[in-house]
Amino acid sequence: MIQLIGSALKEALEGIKANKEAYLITIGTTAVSMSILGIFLIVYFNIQGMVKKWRENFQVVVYLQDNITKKDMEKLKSYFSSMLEIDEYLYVSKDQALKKFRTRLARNQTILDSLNVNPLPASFELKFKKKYRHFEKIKSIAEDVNKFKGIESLEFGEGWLGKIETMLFFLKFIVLAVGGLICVGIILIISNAIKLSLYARKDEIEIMQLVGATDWFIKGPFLFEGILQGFLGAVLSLIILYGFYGMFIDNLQASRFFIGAQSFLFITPRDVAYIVLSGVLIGYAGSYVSLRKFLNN
Amino acid sequence: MIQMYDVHKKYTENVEALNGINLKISKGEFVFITGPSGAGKTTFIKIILGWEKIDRGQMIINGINMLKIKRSKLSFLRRNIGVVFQDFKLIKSRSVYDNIAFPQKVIGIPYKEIKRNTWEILKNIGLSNKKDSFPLELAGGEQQRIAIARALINKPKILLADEPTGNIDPEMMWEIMKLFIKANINGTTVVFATHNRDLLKTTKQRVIHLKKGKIVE
Ligand SMILES: Nc1ncnc2c1ncn2[C@@H]1O[C@H](COP(=O)(O)OP(=O)(O)O)[C@@H](O)[C@H]1O
Ligand SMILES: [Mg+2]
Repeated sequence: MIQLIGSALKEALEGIKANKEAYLITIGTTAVSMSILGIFLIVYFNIQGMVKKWRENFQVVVYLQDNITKKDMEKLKSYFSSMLEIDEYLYVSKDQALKKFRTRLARNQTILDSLNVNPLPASFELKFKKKYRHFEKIKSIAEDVNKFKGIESLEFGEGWLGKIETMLFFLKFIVLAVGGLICVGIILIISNAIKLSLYARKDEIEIMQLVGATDWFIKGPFLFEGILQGFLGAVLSLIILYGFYGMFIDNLQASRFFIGAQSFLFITPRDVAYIVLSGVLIGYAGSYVSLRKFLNN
Repeated sequence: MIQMYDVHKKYTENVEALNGINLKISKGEFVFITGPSGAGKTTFIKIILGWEKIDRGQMIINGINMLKIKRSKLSFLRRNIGVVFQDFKLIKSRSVYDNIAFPQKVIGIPYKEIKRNTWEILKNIGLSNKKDSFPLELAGGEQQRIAIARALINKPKILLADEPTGNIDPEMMWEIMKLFIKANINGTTVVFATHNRDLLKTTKQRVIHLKKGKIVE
């Protein structure tokens, strides 16, 4: 068994050596295609990460009219505690609101000192349970809340949250579509390379079949060859991506854009493993396609 | 060892390469298959190997029903069959030694044994000194001896030959024949397709004549 695998590996390496140039071209093309996919993935994951962070801090603020009655207030409270979706709600009185405002604007005390009435409304801050932090859900709750008496206004990230969620949805779709197309493309590239390799060794394969080699024995070296192409292409694409990422980050820091919002991330080690694994699988699929056609006639 | 009942094989609609073959070749026999070009000799060899499928009839090779055999089992059948062609079919990019060692690697024989067996057979065919040469550096007769060594290296039960002396000088022909006879003496069933009359004149072996895909007397 070990002898068989060893000889299959040796055969594969000999096949590569015999056709170095074509092999390098295949790996290069694979790497470039996978890099494009990788860029999409990085952008996608970063936007997803940002949205996730925003969602975590997400809250709806219900501003109350100054003249709200105790009864209406109690009604609101019992509504909040009856809602499964609401994790917690926090009452912020007019005084607390002013205090908060003051600390935020500490440097501009003079403006505040000129105020002799408190213009800030009291409010409830609603936090939602994680799984309900979706735009549609929150919107419907907000609409319900708005029907209560004594409410001045509601504030939540209505516009942008909805937009970002649709954008994320489309981006996901694009990533999947581009990813799928690129995978098919790479499979075709590798399967073509393997086809050439198979034709170059046509006589040898015929003799293998004549002397009773099993299909797996014949396929082995070519499968290794395809897998190696996919693997090396994936690794090379990661190196390319990391290079671009480094350049991008340098520029980012130079321009001081983005800082404070969120640091821009490279793909996680888990995703690196996935990319390498998909390289291997794509290589396998590529050689499988060619072998199937070749050995069945 | 080989049984055929009403075997038919067509490549195209109107050409019957084999047209109702009935025969039995017993274990240890040496049988010549002869007939004019296009008579179906090559096809006869190929269906025994399972290289071509038959269209109709029954065929049993080494106890295996060839109509029912699965593709995956075919390779195991072929390990019991050695085959030699007119054009040698050696791997041009590999040395004489590697060409002969090859079928043993395919069936997973340990390296040490491969080495011993290959040396022994190289000595038997008288080509030990050419072990590192490549096929195209050798004369036709030498190449064919290597092809025979390759066919015999795994001690097959059946040895098939499709005009193995077709591309060889007449002086070398007898050297080649000796190898087949020796294999037969050692118990291998030999099926030898040829249209060489000199060869057939001198033999006392069974001869099957084919014509247009049929056996004739
Ligand atoms: N691959 C093929 N495709 C179509 N016809 C074939 C093929 N091989 C052989 N034939 C036809 O089958 C008949 C028998 O051929 P073959 O078995 O090669 O005869 P022989 O070996 O006696 O010369 C011939 O008429 C030949 O033209
Ligand atoms: Mg012929």
